[in-house]
Amino acid sequence: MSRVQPSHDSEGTVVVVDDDPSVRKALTNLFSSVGLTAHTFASTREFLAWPLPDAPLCMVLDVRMPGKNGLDFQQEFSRSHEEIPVVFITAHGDIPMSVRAMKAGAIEFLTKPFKDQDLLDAIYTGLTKSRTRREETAAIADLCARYDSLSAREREVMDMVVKGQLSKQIAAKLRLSEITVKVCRSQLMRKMHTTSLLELGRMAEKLERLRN
Amino acid sequence: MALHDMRPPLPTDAEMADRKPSSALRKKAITGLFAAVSPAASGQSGIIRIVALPLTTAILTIAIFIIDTVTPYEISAATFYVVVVLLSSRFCRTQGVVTASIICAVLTIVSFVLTPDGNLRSGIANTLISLVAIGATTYLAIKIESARVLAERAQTHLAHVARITTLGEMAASIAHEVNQPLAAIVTNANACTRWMRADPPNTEKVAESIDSIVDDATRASEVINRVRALATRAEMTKAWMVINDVVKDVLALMQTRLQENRVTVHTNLSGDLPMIFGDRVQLQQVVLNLMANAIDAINATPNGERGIQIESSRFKTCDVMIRIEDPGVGIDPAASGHLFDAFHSTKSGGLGIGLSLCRSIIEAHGGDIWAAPNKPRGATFCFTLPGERESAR
Repeated sequence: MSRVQPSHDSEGTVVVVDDDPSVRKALTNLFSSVGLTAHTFASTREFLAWPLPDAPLCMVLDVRMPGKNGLDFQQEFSRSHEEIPVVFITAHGDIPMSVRAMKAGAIEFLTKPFKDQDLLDAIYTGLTKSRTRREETAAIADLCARYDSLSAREREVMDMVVKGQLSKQIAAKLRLSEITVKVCRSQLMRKMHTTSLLELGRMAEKLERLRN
Repeated sequence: MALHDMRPPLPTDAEMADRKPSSALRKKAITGLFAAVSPAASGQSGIIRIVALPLTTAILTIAIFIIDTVTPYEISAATFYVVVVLLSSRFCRTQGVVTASIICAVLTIVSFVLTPDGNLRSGIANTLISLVAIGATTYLAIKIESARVLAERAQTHLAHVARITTLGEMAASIAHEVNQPLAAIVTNANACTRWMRADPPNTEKVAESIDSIVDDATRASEVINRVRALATRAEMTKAWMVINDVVKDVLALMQTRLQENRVTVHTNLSGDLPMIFGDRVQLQQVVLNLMANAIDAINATPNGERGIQIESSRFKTCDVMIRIEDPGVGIDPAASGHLFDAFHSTKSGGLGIGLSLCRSIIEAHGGDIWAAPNKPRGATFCFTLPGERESAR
């Protein structure tokens, strides 16, 4: 329990949705004892009214709640918010319930009363996952922005370059001088923030995948 | 979801406004039903049993004694003491009946001594006949009384069995209710350890955690107490109470079951109700059985509405009425005559104990229970209980 957590783990927010006030209070206490910020909500409706912060998030969700139950909520919510991992806690779990939760992408399914370290481990895993997902999303957005900044001609040239064609071949196909193609090529490499053809190829592949 | 602060979702103002006209209509319909179904005043029988009957018996005893004493030996008024013995068996247990018959026998002999005139021989004969009659009646009355006690005991036992069955169904619910505070205790204890091991230890947070632990433990033991109150096999222990609290207790215990069946409950509990004198656990059992029936009825119509309405109100100025209304399958007209009969069930897995138990409990409390179909569908179960009267307390 005296385990020292890596410093980057202290960033990020834990969201607790549980209808039991004493459980909410206890979880807030536990999280603050390890330096995690927690926001608690009595229902999923209350949570949805909350503006999501721009930071890594991990959600602790009770299964049985008035209104929508945790499992149904997760299924709906994860469709639009894939980047927020969910840890389930329940006072009466059974196997079908946990299978359903894990299939829908939950990090962990804990039965109350649970070991604090189990919960904290799950939370740290969740926060790391959230952080990675956010970074990935940011990287993709960045890549798209870079690609969007290319002119039509540069895109054409990039397409051919990554297919392995030489400047001479490209010039012939586009009826341009080889010099023009070379200038265009160095310009697009600069705009895409890369110096290696291999990396450019990888970017093109990623963009292709996104387009599909 | 603490048991004590679990409240059924209250309807919003808009919902209430929506419901008003229809509920007023229903009230009208139900008022009409009262006139047809329960003509007798429900609270009167209890009062008669407690005060009026012993009084009548005493007056009758004195009257017989006077008549027997002033009339000559030939007129054997003392045989009418059998009526006294029979009456006493209505409100006394075995010992009381024996005492009454001894008093009657003594009075017969005293009358014989005091009677001034008449044929002494027929006087002796008449007195002996009277004494034999009193003795025989006492014997029979005691036999009937002991049979009644046995029947009552059997009924208590039956109530206990039914209660345990319902408890079995609610095991999951109870586990849930106990696990919540336990989870909070464990989590708070863990947090407490962390606060203590921090450098420097955060004593304020440690104290806060311990306070929370105490609160949660108290809550867990409250849950256990409630369950135990439901499960203990007890003779009637009557106390003054507010019927709304009984309804709230049951709703708290059934929360999980209601959620599992996606049934919502709308309560409309009147704040201005007389206190009632009764056995809390038994009355809880009645509400619980009626609620369980309502849930079953709703489940039998999978695509229908899923709301139960519970109302408490004043009935005939001094009494209390509880109404439980469901939009379920309703009452089969063929079964309506046997609804409250023991071992008569319309459900495939039913024992036919629930409603008969409800009736015996309500009747033992001097109340009335009846059912009526709803329009367009569903059923309404109502029961009344005699409320507190100024003179009765």
